[in-house]
Amino acid sequence: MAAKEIKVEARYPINLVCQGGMLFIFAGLFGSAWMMFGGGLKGVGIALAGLIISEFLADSLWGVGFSIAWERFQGTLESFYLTPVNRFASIIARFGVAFLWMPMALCVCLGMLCLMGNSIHILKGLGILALIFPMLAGLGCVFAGICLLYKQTGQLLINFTQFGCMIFCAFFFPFSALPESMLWVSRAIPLSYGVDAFRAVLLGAAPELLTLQQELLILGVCAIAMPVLGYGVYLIAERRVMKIGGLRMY
Amino acid sequence: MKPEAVFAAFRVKLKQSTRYRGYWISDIVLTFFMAFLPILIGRGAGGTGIFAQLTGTTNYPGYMLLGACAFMVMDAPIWQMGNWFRREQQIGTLQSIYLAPQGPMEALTGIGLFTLFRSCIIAGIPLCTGFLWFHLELSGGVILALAFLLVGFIPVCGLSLMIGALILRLKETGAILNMTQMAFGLLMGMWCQVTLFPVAIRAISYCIPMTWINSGVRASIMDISYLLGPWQDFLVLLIFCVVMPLAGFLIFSVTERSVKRREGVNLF
Repeated sequence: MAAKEIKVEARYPINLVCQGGMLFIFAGLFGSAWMMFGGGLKGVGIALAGLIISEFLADSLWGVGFSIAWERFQGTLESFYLTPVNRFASIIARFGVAFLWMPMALCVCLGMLCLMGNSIHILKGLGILALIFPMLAGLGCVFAGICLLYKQTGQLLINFTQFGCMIFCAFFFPFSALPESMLWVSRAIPLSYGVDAFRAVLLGAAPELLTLQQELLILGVCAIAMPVLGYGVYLIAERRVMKIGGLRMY
Repeated sequence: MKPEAVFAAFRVKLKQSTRYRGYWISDIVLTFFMAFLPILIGRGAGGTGIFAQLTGTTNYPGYMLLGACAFMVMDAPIWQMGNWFRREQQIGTLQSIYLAPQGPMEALTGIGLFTLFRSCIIAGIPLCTGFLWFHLELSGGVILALAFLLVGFIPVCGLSLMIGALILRLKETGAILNMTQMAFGLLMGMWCQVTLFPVAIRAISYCIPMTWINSGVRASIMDISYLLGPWQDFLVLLIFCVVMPLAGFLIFSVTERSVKRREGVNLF
């Protein structure tokens, strides 16, 4: 399944190049916004670190979650269910493209950070990403279930989740920029701790929400719990949809 | 071009969009989101000193909200008209449209009208919020800003035809469309003053109509400096109004003819 996903992606090289180009454009957008306020290279560093996690999140929401809706749109979802493949494994395999794409995105963002003269701790940063990855894989499975159940509405929910995370998880600005009431929402989202810890270890700054140890503990728990939750939600959604015979319905 | 065909295309799009009401809400929320991100960056950077030096105002929430609204209005034709070709290709109805007595130009004009109508609602709500909460003044400048937006819609539709041609030629263009949208956002100065860019990027930025529209809207409502001057900026926009639709139509016609001659329009 992963090989098939990579093969499909590789058939559209212009799309791949454009995805790479998007990274530079996003870096330019957030960089220019920081420059408007005299944020300097420190601000651009914060935005670039957030961009990495933002790409991870987009891959899990769209690549894993929405891919189910896409299968339905193409009319291949029912056939996919008739093949003797472990369905959960094949959902996870949709991250195959992310394995191809994420190293590229990481190299681009970390390369830009290095070129700007930021001293970064790549290995420690990768360690945090290793905890964030299963968490987001689980989230992707939750949304795969939601897309299975709610069809096109899933796209809207994914949009809102992605925008919400960009604001509440403070991908592109420090948490101190959020008003206190919004900060409470941030504290309730586990990904916020991932963003905070990643930024802290990568850029060598102090974490803003909790101590690094506490944030790592939360990330560790979520790295185990989220895939289990994702599996559970997907199974429930699958059973409901199969009961009403809605697999082939677009 | 038959007006009733154009109106029918407008009605179809309106009907389709009312079937998915969530997208209206999503687009309104997206406008606020586009404004909130740089506002929070401004809060994070902790000062408006440099911002005020660059723009001539300290009201950065209003500045960012106007940029986000201009982006949403200008982005809509690119998304709606450009993506229309992809959508029709995917659902397999593009060839039938080409076989109908009224060709795709009537459909595109109808979609353009629908986009204008939709943009007015989607950008209108955040703009009203700006007038109520972000200290934007409801003065005579608003009429000039509206003129910039409405007149600016014409060259952007021309640009959308070019994007449509690209989609007709390349087909699988999801990432290209996404990249183009955000590139236009960056180049038009959605979150910044275009004078901040290096000379080469600034030159590209001046070559797209959105830069002039965005700057005109901000300058007329917030009483800050225009790129050249109010009437000079408007004149540049009028020149774009002549050049861009013609260029768009020419590029689209050439591409369409070439696609029809080669593989036909039925390929997905």
